[in-house]
Amino acid sequence: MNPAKILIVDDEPNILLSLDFLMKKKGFEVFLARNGEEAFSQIEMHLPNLVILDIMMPDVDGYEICKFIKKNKHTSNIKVLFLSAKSKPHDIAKGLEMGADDYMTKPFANKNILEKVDELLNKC
Amino acid sequence: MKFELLSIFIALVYLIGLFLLAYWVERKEKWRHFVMNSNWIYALSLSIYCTAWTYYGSIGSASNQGVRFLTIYLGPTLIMPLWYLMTKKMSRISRIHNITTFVDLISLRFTQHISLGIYITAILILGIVPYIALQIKAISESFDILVHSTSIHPGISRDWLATILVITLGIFIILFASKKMDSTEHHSGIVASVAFESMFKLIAFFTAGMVICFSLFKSPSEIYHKIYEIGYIDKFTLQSNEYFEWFALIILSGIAFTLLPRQFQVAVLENHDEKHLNTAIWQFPLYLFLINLFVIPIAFAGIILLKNQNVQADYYILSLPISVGMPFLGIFVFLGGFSAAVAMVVIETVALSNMLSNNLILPILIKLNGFSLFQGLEQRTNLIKHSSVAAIMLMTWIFYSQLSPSYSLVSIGLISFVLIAQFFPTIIGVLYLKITNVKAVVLSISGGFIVWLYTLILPTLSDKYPVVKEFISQGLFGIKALNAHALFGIEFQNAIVHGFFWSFLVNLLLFFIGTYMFKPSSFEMKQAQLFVDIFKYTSFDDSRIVYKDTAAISDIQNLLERFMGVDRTKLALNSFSLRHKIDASNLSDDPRLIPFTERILSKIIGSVSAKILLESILKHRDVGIYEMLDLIEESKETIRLNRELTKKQNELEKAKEDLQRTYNQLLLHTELKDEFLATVSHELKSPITSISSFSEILQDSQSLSQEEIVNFSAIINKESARITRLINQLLDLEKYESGSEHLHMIPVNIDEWIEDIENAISGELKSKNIKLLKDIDANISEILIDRDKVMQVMINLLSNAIKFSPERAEVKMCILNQKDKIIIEIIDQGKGIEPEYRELIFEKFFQARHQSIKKPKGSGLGLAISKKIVHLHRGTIYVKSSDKNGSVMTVELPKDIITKT
Repeated sequence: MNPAKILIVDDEPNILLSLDFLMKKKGFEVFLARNGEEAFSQIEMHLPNLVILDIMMPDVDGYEICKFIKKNKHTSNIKVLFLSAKSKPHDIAKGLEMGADDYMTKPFANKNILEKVDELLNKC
Repeated sequence: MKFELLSIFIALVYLIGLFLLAYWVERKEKWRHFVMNSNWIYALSLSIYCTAWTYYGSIGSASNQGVRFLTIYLGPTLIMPLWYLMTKKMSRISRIHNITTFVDLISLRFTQHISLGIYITAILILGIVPYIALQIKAISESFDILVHSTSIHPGISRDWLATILVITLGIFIILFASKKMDSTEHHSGIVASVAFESMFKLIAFFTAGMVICFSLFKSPSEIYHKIYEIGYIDKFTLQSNEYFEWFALIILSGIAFTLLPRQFQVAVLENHDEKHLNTAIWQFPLYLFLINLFVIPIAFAGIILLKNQNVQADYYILSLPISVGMPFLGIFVFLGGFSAAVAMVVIETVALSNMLSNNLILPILIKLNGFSLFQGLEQRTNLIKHSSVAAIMLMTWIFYSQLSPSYSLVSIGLISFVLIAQFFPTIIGVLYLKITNVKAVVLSISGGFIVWLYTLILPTLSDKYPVVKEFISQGLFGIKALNAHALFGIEFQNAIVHGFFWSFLVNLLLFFIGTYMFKPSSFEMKQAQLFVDIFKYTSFDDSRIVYKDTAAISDIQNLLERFMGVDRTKLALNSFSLRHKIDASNLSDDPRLIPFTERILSKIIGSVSAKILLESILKHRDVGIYEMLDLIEESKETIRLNRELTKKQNELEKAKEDLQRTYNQLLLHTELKDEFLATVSHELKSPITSISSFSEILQDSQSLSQEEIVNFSAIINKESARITRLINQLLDLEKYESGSEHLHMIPVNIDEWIEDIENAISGELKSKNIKLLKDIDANISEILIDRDKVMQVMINLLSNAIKFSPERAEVKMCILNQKDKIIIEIIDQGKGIEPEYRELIFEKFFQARHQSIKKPKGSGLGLAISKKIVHLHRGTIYVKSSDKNGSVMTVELPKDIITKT
């Protein structure tokens, strides 16, 4: 079986780097995007199994990307995990309303996010 | 018979007197203040340590075993310095964290789960109830001696008296302690009556001592001569094999003095002013000295006069006056002992019943049912509290009625001491060791508790159950090494010392093993920070523990109404909005509402239950400033482990200190709203996320290549620099907002100044290949400005211009000389600024709050600081024009103060 494909979208280069390292070490195939534009093209090109998505980004916000993924027929089975510094209950509620499969807050513990990723991928 | 009734009558009057005293103190504001603010009353309330066991039992112990009774008083005296440190810390923690019982202190430090509290409560009740029963026994026996001359007759009147007493005291406690909704509130009435009782027992003991020494005999020296003649004096010298016993008993009683629930209640929970501890460290030992002054003379007198009359040595002080026909001195002495016992029973019951309700019953009910199932919780909570008192009193009575008459007063008290000592390592962990964890605590308490049961409780059952007797003589499973009186075949002179030695040893070993084998969870690390460093966090103001949670006001209102009714809730919320000057309709967003609610609830149902309830309405906790400090602390720890990175440790440490200092300063300025704080914490999260993630990766460094280690360390380094930069800018901004920053105007040579600015941004220019064009009015050579501050403005504007322009673009800087002002313009080739944002960009953290137009990274404070600086020069800063080809930022500085041609 091919390794699962994960797209990580975040405008903080160092957060991208650490997630890239962690996911690759777990044997996933990893793609990175630093803004909405890159994210859309990566999704189209690679059809990942899971997108780890920041909310606040320069051009398009994470909510829009999530809506796009879940609305589109051929991408709607992609799992979406929000990873955001926004941690107020209503932020989380909004994220889940957009159709995300789960929500994690920053800062995160490496172990937790790896567990969460495993959990989401196993549901595929 | 007449005398019996008279005695009962006097005791009753005395008891009513105590009730009235408590009642008056509670009623009169002035009295209450006096009680709370007097260091003497505090020291006297500590003297609750001297129970009926001291009052009667010391003399018994002195006549049977010599000076060994002194260990019980030497312990607290010698431990005073340590007691001072621990009690001060425990008082502060209790005040800040709304702690209502000894159990809260341990359970809040280690776990969010209720089971630890339940477990400890059960152990404490098991160990302390017999001790309370002992006091009831002392009262009833002493009453018997008082009315039936000199010997103890088992009779109905004695148990009848005990029953009446248990009921009366139960009512007293319900009226004055548990009736209060707020269990953190000070029970001034009860404290006053306890202090009075302490005074009374001292006077009674002293009077009896004086009368016995100077009226029954000519002087104390006559007593000593006589005792010498009958050859009894040998008992009063310390034998060489007793040293260990002395040592152990001194440690034991020192620990007990610090941790017994009743001592914790008066010393920590009822402490109103930490300064009282400073005087108590000499006042309390003085009290101990005075109350022990006559123990030996009275014991000797008893031996001389009553030795052959079948009188229990414990009650010499009472039997002596009666045997020589002084019944009223007898009543007086009886009242002294009565005082000692009543005070102890009351406080110990208050302490235990609070544990029973706040740490056992309420948490279980709330966990099982959730608060939504409860209607009229206000009444229920009271009912639960009253029932807890009743339950403790009932258990006391049952134990009293089962109490084997063969026990001397001292032994049961010491068995309780040994149990309490099992909590000593845990409390040291709570107060001083950040690495202690819940597993170590459970191991140590359980280990000590089991050995305590085996060596000290099991043998007490041997009279009733022959099986147990067999155990004791043969050892468990017939193994001699497990003999309950001499584990591993090591004999001690006395069972208490034996039990203490082994239980404490096992306890300590398990504590250390647990502490070093298991790691604390992140919750424990956070609590450790808050508990161990309590003085650091609360040095400037006691109420500054900040949570960044918010919750819907309807949830909070709903919650509070269930516990305090509609009216009181309305009142509380109104006073909250008034105090913080916030609109009552806007309460939901205020993060201070959560600690406020938690404080109120803690007072009613204890902090453990309050936390559980609040968790239920706050599903997601935002990361507050202290969690952030913890994260930095954790990263620091990781970095320490990597030798390559030791240098970075200092930087992070400094960043952490700066952050804390800034945070404290920001709190002092009320105009800085919580929204701002929320944004600060939010802006800190990105660098902290990277730091914490890479720190974790580095922790696993054996699987990393050398290159990776270097790269990741560099990232941590860079991100901590980013935190530092943000903090510095915050510090700057704080100075401007508080008005503490002033200008240092100096004449500035314009050419040199521009050159310095160019040097500062040359790196940024080069990295994007941008060319800087200059257009400087030839007819200005010198201006009067704050050189460094205006330079900061220029650098900030130019950096922004570079950031927003594409590569290889041109950025232009113009300085124009007009009649009344100097005009500085910075022109970029960026994408422009939407009209609606042209003013907003000068607000702090504008980018962070309007993410949809987020541009390249900055701290979000640069323009806000620039605006402050320009305003200090009485100038203006604004966006002159902006379109898709670029923007023009303009700074105007009025000439009347700045130019010098």
